[in-house]
Amino acid sequence: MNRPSFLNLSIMIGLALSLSVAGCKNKRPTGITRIPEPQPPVIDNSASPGIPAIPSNTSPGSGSTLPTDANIGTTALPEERGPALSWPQDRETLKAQTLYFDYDKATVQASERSKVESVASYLKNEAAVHLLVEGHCDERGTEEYNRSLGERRALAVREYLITLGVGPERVHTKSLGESQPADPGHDDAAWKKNRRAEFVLLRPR
Amino acid sequence: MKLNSAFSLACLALAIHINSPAAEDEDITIRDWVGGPERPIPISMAGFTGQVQSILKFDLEVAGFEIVEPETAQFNITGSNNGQVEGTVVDRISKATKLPRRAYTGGTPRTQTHALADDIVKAITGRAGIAKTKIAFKVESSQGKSEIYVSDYDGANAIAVTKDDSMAVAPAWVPAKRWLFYTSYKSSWPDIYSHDLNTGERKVVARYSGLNTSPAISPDGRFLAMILSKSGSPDVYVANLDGTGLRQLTKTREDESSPCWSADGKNVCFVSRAGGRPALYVVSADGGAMRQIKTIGAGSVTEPEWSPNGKWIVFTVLRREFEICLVPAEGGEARTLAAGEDASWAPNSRTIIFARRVGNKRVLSLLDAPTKRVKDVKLNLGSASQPSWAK
Repeated sequence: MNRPSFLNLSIMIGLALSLSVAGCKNKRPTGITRIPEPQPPVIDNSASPGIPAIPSNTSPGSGSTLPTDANIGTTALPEERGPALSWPQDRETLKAQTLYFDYDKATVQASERSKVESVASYLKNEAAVHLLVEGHCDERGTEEYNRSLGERRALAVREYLITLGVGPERVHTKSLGESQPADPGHDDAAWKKNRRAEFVLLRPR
Repeated sequence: MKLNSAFSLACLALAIHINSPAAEDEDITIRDWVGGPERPIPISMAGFTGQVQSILKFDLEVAGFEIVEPETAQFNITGSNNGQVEGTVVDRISKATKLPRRAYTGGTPRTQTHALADDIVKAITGRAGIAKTKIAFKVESSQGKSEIYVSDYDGANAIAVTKDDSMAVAPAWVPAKRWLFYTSYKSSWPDIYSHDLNTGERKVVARYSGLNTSPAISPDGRFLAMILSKSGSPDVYVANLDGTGLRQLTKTREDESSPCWSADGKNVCFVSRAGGRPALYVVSADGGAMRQIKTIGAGSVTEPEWSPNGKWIVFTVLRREFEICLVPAEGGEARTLAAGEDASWAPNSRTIIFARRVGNKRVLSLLDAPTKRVKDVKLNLGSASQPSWAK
């Protein structure tokens, strides 16, 4: 555009004129925008009553749910949480059996198997007791990724207990992801302690 | 571009003016971001004071502008905030008025300023602004306890949605509604809750044995994707918003996590460890085989979110630290945008909110993807993470 044509030049002059006119007009606001009144604040749930019942289709044997045994190599959990989950918790008895995982893995290592075996034999002698396996992760993963990984770890322990003869209905799982580290540090030593499954006994009242 | 005289400048502006089908486009080309780096647009601001000035500066910097001296700016913004917020935008070179002087009444100085910021963004770039949008996120109250909060996108007006003194995590908005889904351990077990912010009504929508987490609502607001472990492994499921009509989408032995929806609501993207390392996969919301989305250059990838315009998937990769990366939705070369984790798109498919670890806590940051500029969300609530941008 080194050599502007006469046409362009004249349009340019016209534009310059119209701009200067517009410039004069612009001294006063042309558009007044009314800001809508704020919406009512988020309603506090503190007064909200108990949680209503789950929709009926979630009970076993209903509608569109695919068979849960479609997963190969996994044992389905009971569809609903049973009463055992509200039994008193004993976190001490099996504390020494807390087992540890490799980074980003959910398989029970050979070195940790004896712990699961001793838990299995304890459960065989205490037929009324249920077991909760809590899965945990180190902080080197995103939060929801770790929540799934923690659950997978707990389920891997459950699978192993089932192969050792423990009834599937007696073993429950809970993932806490990375939210409850055993060691609050940020190094290898801490992470090793945090990739774990803890055993909690559930004793009937 | 270096131009020699005002004369040739004016001619250039004119030439574009004449060739352009839309006269108001002037010398700015409005185009969608195609993934490459962009330079911030230099602008100047004059006449604003105090809170209004700092809010306007924050909004415009997040939107991909850089505040410079008037004589080097591409656009000069002038205005005032005596009683009401007013502003106008002039192209410094062509002298064209991009935004005729506009004034705002009602609301607060803050909301008036956000409205002006959005009008400036629209006038200069043609894009819809995001200054009036909301976010939801998790705040850790103490070790192992957390609540869900909502606030303006810049962190102002933060309000606790839950006050359970338990662990509430993974908030997700229902599109275009004041309505959240999240996971809470309130019952001591991880269940998925639906929480209407207008009425305060709260319902459990999934409380099966094992894990119920990572709710994600389809763009049309009709379906809920989530992770359940009742099959014996964490799998992706889809249901109606009230939890009825449950369908299992994945049946792997390994765990899946963090489902999100495609813009058309036909597909669900998620993370699976089925191939050993965590990778991105897509499955039709109607079921069928899952297929992997390639993220070349990014190994262990988690927490995907599909952009509202359908073009991109943003995700987290763990290298030496967490990094926010991007791939085209069909897969391809991973592009690193910033250090951080757990990204969520703004409605403009351009701005991203994510969490950054600073010492022992996390802070929320805003990222303008094309310019890679990052600004922290101002919160004084402790460790904040898992942001979800209302769309």
